[in-house]
Amino acid sequence: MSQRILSGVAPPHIAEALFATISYRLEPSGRATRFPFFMDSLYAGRLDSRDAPAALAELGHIEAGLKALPPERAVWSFTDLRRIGDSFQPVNHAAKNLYEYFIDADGQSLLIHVRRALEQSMLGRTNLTFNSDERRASVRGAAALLLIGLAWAGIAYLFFPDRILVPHGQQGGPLLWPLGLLAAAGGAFTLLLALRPAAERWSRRHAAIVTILLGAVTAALLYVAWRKRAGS
Amino acid sequence: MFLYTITLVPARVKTLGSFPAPDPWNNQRPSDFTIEAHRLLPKNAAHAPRDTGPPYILGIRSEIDGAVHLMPESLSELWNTGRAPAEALPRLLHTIEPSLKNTDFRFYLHATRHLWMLGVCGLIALAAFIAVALQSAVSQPHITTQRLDISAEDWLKTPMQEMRLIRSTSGLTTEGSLRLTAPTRIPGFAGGYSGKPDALAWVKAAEGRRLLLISGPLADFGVERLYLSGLALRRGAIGLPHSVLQDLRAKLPDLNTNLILCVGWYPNPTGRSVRLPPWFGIAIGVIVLAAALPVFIVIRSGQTRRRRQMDHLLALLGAKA
Repeated sequence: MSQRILSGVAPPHIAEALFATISYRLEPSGRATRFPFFMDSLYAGRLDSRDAPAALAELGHIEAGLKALPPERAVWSFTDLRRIGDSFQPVNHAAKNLYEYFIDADGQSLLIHVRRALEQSMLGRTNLTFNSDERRASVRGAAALLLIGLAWAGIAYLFFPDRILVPHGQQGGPLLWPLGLLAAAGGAFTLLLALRPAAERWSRRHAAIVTILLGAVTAALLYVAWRKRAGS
Repeated sequence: MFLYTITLVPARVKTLGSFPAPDPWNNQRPSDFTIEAHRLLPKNAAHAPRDTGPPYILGIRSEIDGAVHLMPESLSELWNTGRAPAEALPRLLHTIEPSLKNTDFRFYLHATRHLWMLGVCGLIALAAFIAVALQSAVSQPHITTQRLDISAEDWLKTPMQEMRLIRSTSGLTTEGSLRLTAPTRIPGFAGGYSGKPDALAWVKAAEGRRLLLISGPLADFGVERLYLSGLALRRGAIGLPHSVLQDLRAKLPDLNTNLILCVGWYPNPTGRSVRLPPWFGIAIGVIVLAAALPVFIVIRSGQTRRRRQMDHLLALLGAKA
C-alpha cells in the first residue's frame, strides 16, 4: 500500500521548487546532509512507513527553517538557481515567509499536506511516494534500458540465435542474444533502485558488495552463453 | 559507427560560505553572495547530486538575481589558499570574466603528481614489456618452418626434433591407440580443436615407443595406419590429461611422453604467440612517451596560464587595497 504525496495538490514544478528550496536553503552542506529521510528517500520517490516518524521529526526542523526565511529566498529548481518572477506562479504572494509561500489551491501550505501524509503513513503503515523530476528521469532511463535489452534479446534470439561475438583470432565468444538480457538485467536493477530509494541507499552504502554481485552475474551469464566458434 | 558524446555540466552540490559584497553584475548594488561548490556531471545525472567529495568547481551566487558565476581554477586557488578574501571575489571575477576560456575551469594546478604517477606507471609497464620480450626471445623455441619430408621408416630411426614440421612419404602402422574424452587445446596451434576428441597412438621406434597425438577430424578416418604430418611438441605445451599419460606409461614403460608428435596440428597463424624482439618494447615506450607529451604540454601550459592569471588577480587585489 502506498500513498502519493502532493499529487493533484500543487503543480509539479511548485512541489519541485519546495524541495529545491528546502535543500538549497536549509542544507548548505549538500543534499540530504540534514534531512536524509526527506531528501534522500521522499524526494527520491519513496518513503517507507517505518521511516515516517524520522521524516516527521525532520519536517519540524524544515517548517521552523522555512518560517524564518523571507519568500524572496525561494529557489525554483535544483539545477537553475536564478531568481524568476513569481507573478504568474500559483504561490502565496502575500506570504510573510517561505512556509506560507508554497501553497495549494485553497491557500494551505504544502507542508501541511506533507505533515498530514506523514502522520497517516505512520498510523496506517502506508508507504509514501513522490513523483519528483529525479524519480521520473530515473524510471524513464531504467525502463528504456530494460526495454532495449529485452528487444535486443528477443530480436537476436529470433534472427541470430547461434551468432556469437568473437574477437579476432579467438576460438569462441558469448552468444549475441543473452547480451540483451544483460542490458535488461541492468535496466531492471536500475529500475529497482529508482522505485525503492531504500534499496538505492543500501546499494550506495554497500557499493563493494553490489559491484561484486553485478560482476558475478555478468561473469555467470557470459560463462553460460559462451560458445565455441564453428569449425575451430 | 555510432558516436555518443556525454555533455558534462557543473552541478551544484553544496554551499561553502556566504559574504556580503557589492554586486558588479547588478550595478554594484549591495548583495549577499554564496560560494557554491559544483561537480562536473553528465547532464542527465546532474539533477540534484549528492556530495561525493572534491575536486569542486567553485562559483559565486548573488541573491539579487540568483545567477551563479563560475570561478576559474586560478581564482578558486587564491580563495582556497587565503590569498584572496571572499569579499573581493565578485570584483575580481567580474574583471577577468570576459577573458576566460572553457579550459580555465579544468583542474591543472594540482595535476603534477598525477603526471608523475602516470610516468612511473608507464616506466614500470615499459620495463615489464621489455622483460617479457627478452624472456620470450630467449626461451621460446623457433618453429622450423622448412618442412622435412621423410619416410616413415627413417623417421622411426632418427631422433625427434621439437617444433620441426615433418611429413612422411610413406604410411606408418601404429601399435595401439585410444580416444581421448575431450578435445585437446594447444595454445598457438590449430588442428584438433574442433569439438571432436583427439586420439593418442604409439609406435615402436629405435629408442623406444613414441607417442602420437592425432587431431580429432583426422582420427575419424582411422589411426591404425597413418601418414605423419605435423610437428613434435613438449608434453608441457600440450594440455593432455595427466592420468591418461600415467596409465600409458604404466602399460608401456618405454613410451617417450616428453616429446609427442602432434599429427594434423600446425601453428595457428592467427592465435600463435608472437615472439617480440626487445626493440619492440622500446618502440612501444617511445610511442607511449610521444602520446603523453601533448598531455604534459597541455597541463604545463595550463598551469603557466593559471599562474599568470593569479599574478594578475593579485595585482588587481593589491591595486584596490
